[in-house]
Amino acid sequence: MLASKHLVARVDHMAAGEDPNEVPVRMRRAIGRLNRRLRQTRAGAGLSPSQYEVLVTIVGRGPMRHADLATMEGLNPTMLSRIIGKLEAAGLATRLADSGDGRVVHVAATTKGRDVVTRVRGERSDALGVALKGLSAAEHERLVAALPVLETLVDRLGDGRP
Amino acid sequence: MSPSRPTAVDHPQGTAPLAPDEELASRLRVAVTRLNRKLRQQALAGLSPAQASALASINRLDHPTLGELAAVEQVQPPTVTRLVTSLEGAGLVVRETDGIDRRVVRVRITAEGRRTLERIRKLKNAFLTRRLAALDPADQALAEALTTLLEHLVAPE
Repeated sequence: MLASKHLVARVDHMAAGEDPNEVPVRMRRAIGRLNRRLRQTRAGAGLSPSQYEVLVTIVGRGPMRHADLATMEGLNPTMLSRIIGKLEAAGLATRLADSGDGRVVHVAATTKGRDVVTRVRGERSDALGVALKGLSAAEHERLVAALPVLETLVDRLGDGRP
Repeated sequence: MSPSRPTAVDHPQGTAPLAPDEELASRLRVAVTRLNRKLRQQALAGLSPAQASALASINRLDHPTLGELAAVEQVQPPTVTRLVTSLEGAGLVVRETDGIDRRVVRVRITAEGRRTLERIRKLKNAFLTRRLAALDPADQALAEALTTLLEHLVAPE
């Protein structure tokens, strides 16, 4: 009973209509899994992934207009306000009124917010460092050779973040 | 808006240069996180990032409890309730009472929810296919080699 239930879940997960041997499909799945693993290392910060993502963006880009930030994060303004409220309450971000136009709100990271991002990045890199130790010397060499391709691919995407 | 800066700003300023392995881990982290973010932005299918993530987890976990979903999504119980309510409103999931413990609520993906996930996967696949096709053959071979390594890094899930 249990086994058959799991088999069904497995088949569902394989997703209809895609070839699991194609490189883009394999890459999408590997990136998704790796990212989920990395997300789990973010224990200390006590932030939800959405809150953390917003914090990373304002740490990387500097102060941003609330409206621009909402667009960039794919969030509606109400949801973003809620997230900023959480970050502000935790002392990680501040809201600033525009000096020229009082109706425009800017959002900026605090020093504490920047420190949190630095710490989380360190934790994630450490976790990856541990995983990399599981690679053979030959695999390690292949990774060094192939990583620039992934970096070039990502750089060309222009995700709007530094 | 501040101008774009190189990716190296990731490293805290004034720290000692990283050892080669640490640098490799750090570069891999940046590349993986950014690619994941870009893929997600390409393929939200009208959902917020948190909704899309929750929907994928509900499918993967095979009708989780609200508590299990909150844990895996790393959100507080009120937030997971709000997420599930919004997905339910869109017809993508349904709430069910657990067959054994009537106090436990589970979330199940609907056929429409599965179609939405499939659409998201197709959009991501198409995006990556286009990007990989733009590489020259040597780089395409390296991208495949890298994918194999990433699979090795994440197996078994």
